[in-house]
Amino acid sequence: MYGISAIALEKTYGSFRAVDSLTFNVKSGDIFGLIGPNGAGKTTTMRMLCGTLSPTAGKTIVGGFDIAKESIKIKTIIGFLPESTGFYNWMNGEEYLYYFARLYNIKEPIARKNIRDLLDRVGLAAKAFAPIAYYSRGMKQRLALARAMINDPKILFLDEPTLGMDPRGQQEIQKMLLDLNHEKGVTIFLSSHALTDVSTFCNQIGILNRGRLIAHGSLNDLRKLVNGSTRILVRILNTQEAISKLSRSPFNNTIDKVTEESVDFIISDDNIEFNQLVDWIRKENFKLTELRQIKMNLDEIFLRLTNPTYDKHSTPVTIKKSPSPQVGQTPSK
Amino acid sequence: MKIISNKITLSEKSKGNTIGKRINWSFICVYLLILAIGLSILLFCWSPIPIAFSQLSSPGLNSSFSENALRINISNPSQIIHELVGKYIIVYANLNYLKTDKTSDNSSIGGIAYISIVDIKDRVPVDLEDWSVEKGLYIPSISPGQSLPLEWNVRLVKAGSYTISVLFNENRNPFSSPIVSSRINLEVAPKLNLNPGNVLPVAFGVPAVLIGIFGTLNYLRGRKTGVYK
Amino acid sequence: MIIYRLEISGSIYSWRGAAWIITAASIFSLVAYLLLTDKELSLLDQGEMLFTFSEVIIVLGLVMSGINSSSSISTEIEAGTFECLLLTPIKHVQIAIQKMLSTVTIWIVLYLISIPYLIVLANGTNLAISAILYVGLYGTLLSIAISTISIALSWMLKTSKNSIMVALMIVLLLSAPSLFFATSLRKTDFGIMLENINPFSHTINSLDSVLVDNQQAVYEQFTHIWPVLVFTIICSIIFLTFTRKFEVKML
Ligand SMILES: Nc1ncnc2c1ncn2[C@@H]1O[C@H](COP(=O)(O)OP(=O)(O)OP(=O)(O)O)[C@@H](O)[C@H]1O
Ligand SMILES: [Mg+2]
Repeated sequence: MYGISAIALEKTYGSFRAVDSLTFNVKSGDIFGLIGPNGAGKTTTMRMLCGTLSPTAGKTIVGGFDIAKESIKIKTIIGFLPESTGFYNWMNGEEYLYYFARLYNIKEPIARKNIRDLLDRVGLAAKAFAPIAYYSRGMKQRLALARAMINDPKILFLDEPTLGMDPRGQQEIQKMLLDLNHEKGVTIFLSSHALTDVSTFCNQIGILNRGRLIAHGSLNDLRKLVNGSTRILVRILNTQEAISKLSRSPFNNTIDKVTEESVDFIISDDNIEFNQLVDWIRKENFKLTELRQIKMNLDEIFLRLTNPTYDKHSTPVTIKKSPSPQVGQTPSK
Repeated sequence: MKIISNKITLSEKSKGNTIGKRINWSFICVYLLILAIGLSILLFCWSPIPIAFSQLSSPGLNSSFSENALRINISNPSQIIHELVGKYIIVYANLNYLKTDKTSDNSSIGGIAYISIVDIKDRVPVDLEDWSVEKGLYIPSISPGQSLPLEWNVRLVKAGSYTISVLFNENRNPFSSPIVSSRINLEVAPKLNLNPGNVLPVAFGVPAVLIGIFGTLNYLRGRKTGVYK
Repeated sequence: MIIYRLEISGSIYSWRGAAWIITAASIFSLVAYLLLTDKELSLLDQGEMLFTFSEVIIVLGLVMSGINSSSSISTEIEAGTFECLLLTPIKHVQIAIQKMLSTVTIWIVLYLISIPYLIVLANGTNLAISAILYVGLYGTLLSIAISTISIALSWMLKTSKNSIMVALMIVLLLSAPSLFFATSLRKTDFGIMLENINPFSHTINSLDSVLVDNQQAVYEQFTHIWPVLVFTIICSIIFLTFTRKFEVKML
């Protein structure tokens, strides 16, 4: 059974298509990461999946319920951490959670116990009674996360959950979510710009660009979409003729780094024969010091796939340094 | 693995200016409201303002000797009424249609009987709007030999000296002078509602109590949440 | 009634409602004190004083209802707390109704506070009970009407700036003819027509006739009560139809 399905989901603002014929399924128990440049439509998609925004066309089924017909039922089994949550600043964290527990119709003693539990898990137990006005950015994000989990949801939607959190906090939250996923089988659907985290944390990744899902699958599936995603780094001792020999190599190689002792070069070829490579290295008499396969990380895959001028079949460019993930392409509006 | 769409083209379609085309509801509402307010003010100002009461002419001296032998007179027992401001008085009057031999046609007459109150000190007629609910009494017909009792409830709005008279405009001849009664005097004494003894505790007490209540509630809460130590 | 309870404690602890109540009490004190101690003003008849004071209560109640109810929705929309509310399994109409009731509750507190003033001002006349009852009746009806219409408006307008402004304009539109225009202006055909459809004018005229002209019986005031009632019902219907579903929109 699918935890979340979207069928030809569409949202238009005037003539602008924020989300365009989106169809995908997320199995229950999966951790799905939705990534995409700013304005790609991630937040819009999540809102439509949670029922706070009605789609222009299409259908969404969450936890077996059609959102158009049974939105109240869906709301009791999902938790949603919106992109930016506001708070009643005069309340303290504990009261805030209690208020929402009551809105979800959770009885007082159970609610109190759950709240203590949650505050502990998100690391706010020490500040539970301080007014929310005094919370820092990251603390507020933790509180919002606790709020999203107040009703023990089976499906958790998180729109940039670790935004504004310190590194330790990010790790703690990830660990907590993983535990939740393992122990209770909670389906997690998250959007994020922290691609390294997404690649380690999610078992399914979707890339959204200008409202269209351009790729969907595991990290390895996504790698197969990009040419030259498997590369081999070869490090040899720097000898006089090494560089000139390299330029005559039968492989598609690029010199990456040259120091006094060594030369690094990268061979990017999806169909490379390792034996050939080793034979060639022997033949050329290189002093091999390191040979390792580099797998393309999600950052690069993302940049390739969302680059408007990128064509899947052209020769890939070697990216020397992975730029920060925020430098995505913003669609023209 | 699924590839939903891998062709990434710059879709020109999505470039449309969405902001300009959407209707901005808030602007329309505000605009309409301003328009409505402006319009209503304009309409109010343009409507002909009745120059009420300022031209209420004093009746001619000999008008009570009407050719129709109509008489009107105030029938209150005393010529001068003393009362406190805020009280009500009743002005009684009688409209008589005397039977005379001279009257050739004995048909009945209709008209309006009305009251006039003039402030002596300020030398203006008062605004009857505040003083009396029924300003004019319409009399459909009175036949010769008949006598009609009339009365006006008058509320004494302001202290001062006044004269009261009642008048009758018959509706047969639009150019005839109204017939008028003789005047009586009205002395309205001021009544001071100076009452600081009663209002002071309430006026100062209520806000103080409220501030106290809300202050305490917030302080207690502050203690709980650790704002005040 | 969870949202209602939150609104009430919020209006105490965030001083939103508390400020209204204290301000209203201060204005009541000022007006009552002036009425009873100022030489010129205290020449007024007591009924007249009560009438003036009732007008102050009603107008304050209307302004409070308009601003408080529209801001209670729109500030939540702006602060981003509303989206979380919409995620809970609560009907949207419920949210709106509970918000509306919390504003009406503040009106009721405001009204209860005005009662001692009314009693002091009516001291020595038979008008105290009538003043209290009629102010309560009209104030509550109008407060419900203004709260419902303001919430429906902020439901659509979404920003607090716009919705508070529009709510205030409605209050002004209702009250301006009665408060600021001279009698003669109101006696024109158009003015009479406006008075007949304006619930606020009916309220003022009714209070005038109760307190100044001493027509205290309910049947005498019925011609004024039913238009106000109809207005309240119309506002409530608008409210119920517009607040059925809320759409989150980024602005
Ligand atoms: N109310 C609206 N009216 C018009 N356009 C809108 C509206 N809401 C969203 N959009 C547009 O829809 C597109 C998708 O927005 P969305 O917030 O889903 O992006 P996102 O992927 O979440 O971006 P980010 O990474 O910055 O959070 C954007 O181009 C945005 O401008
Ligand atoms: Mg977003």
